[in-house]
Amino acid sequence: MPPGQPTIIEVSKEGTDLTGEHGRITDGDADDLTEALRAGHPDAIGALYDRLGRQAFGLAYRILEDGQAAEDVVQEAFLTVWRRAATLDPAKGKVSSLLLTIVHRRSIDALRARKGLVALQAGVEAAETADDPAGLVELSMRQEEVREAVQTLPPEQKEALDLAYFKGLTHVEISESTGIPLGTVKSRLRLALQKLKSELSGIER
Amino acid sequence: MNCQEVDELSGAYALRALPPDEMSSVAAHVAGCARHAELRDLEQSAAAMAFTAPEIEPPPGLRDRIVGAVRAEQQARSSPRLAPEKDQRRGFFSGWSWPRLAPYGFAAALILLLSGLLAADIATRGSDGNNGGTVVLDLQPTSGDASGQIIILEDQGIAIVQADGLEPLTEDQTYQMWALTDGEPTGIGLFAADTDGSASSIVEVDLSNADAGAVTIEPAGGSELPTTEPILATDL
Repeated sequence: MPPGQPTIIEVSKEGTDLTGEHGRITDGDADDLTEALRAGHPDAIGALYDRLGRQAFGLAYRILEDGQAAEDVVQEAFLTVWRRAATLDPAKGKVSSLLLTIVHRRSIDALRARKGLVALQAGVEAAETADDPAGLVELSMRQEEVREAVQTLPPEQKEALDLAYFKGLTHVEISESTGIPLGTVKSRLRLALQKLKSELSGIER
Repeated sequence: MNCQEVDELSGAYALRALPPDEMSSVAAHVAGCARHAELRDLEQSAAAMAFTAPEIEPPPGLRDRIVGAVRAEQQARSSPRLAPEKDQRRGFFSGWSWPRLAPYGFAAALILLLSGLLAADIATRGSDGNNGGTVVLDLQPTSGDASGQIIILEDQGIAIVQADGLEPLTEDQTYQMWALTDGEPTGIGLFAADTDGSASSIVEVDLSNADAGAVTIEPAGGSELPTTEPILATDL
């Protein structure tokens, strides 16, 4: 892949096909990557980094706006994925979605800690399992398509979504910081995600 | 919490934009109610938000550090040499009680504890060995149920500290790692435990001159000198 090109993650929808070529990691087969990680293949974490390192760092930096803090989060996230890889069920979730989910949540926790806000991670234990099917992103969608889909949201919904996702604010904190009634915040967050899902479903391949 | 309330909170829940108590309430309801299939869709949409952050080239060297750390962890897992040392050190530690040392102040007590460790285990240092520039040492529990390892990648000048069985901390606490060099403890990093009580952290400090390492629980933000007893320690 030429430098500067966005990394495009392709997830095989047909399932894992290792065909005896264990650990031979090629672009375009995230299932092989998951399997190689599960098997403790030493090159697998490097391959995962080559695919998602830029996105993971970009995400952490977007949230934390601090290079060193972002680097710390990304390092820890890759190590966490490595340590959890043995428990991943390839049929249920993809390692790439796990990685970005961990980067996001740890970035938010670090951001909230920096601001002296209560951590949110404690309450998500039940929802944060390595093979949580709900965490599975349709990674076959190109990044550009996700970005375009977000741009179709009404501005007030996009604002609420950004405050929740990138600023790590709770619905109450969004309401307090914007002056928008809590009920409106709740419905904007829900409507934003519903519309996003609808937009993304339309372009799913 | 009833179904209608859960539906109202579904967007915030999918984004983890709820305080912990509400988050738990929704999770508990959803676990026992089949009427919230929409949540999965919303969570997928929320997860896709990761791709709206612009990609940025990470700092040089990050890939090598991560791959090096993973290789070291793999090496540590497959190292059969650790078992007898672990037993030996546990025996040594069982004779120590941190509170007995408290009158000296925690910093002084850390020095005493770790200096003693060094003397007792100095003979085993050779057998810890140097395995391709990687040294693996067990972090022994001094109190509590935690256990861990410190993996020193001498070639890269970094170390990986990993631990399990860590107790959950309150918001105003953090785990802090210490290196003891010439009798002086130096804070070398903070880390948080995962929800399963595990943690791993990369320490970008040259430990070649350090005599011992330890982990304590400190106030959020860390301390200049240790203020509590170590929960894990090892000589280096």
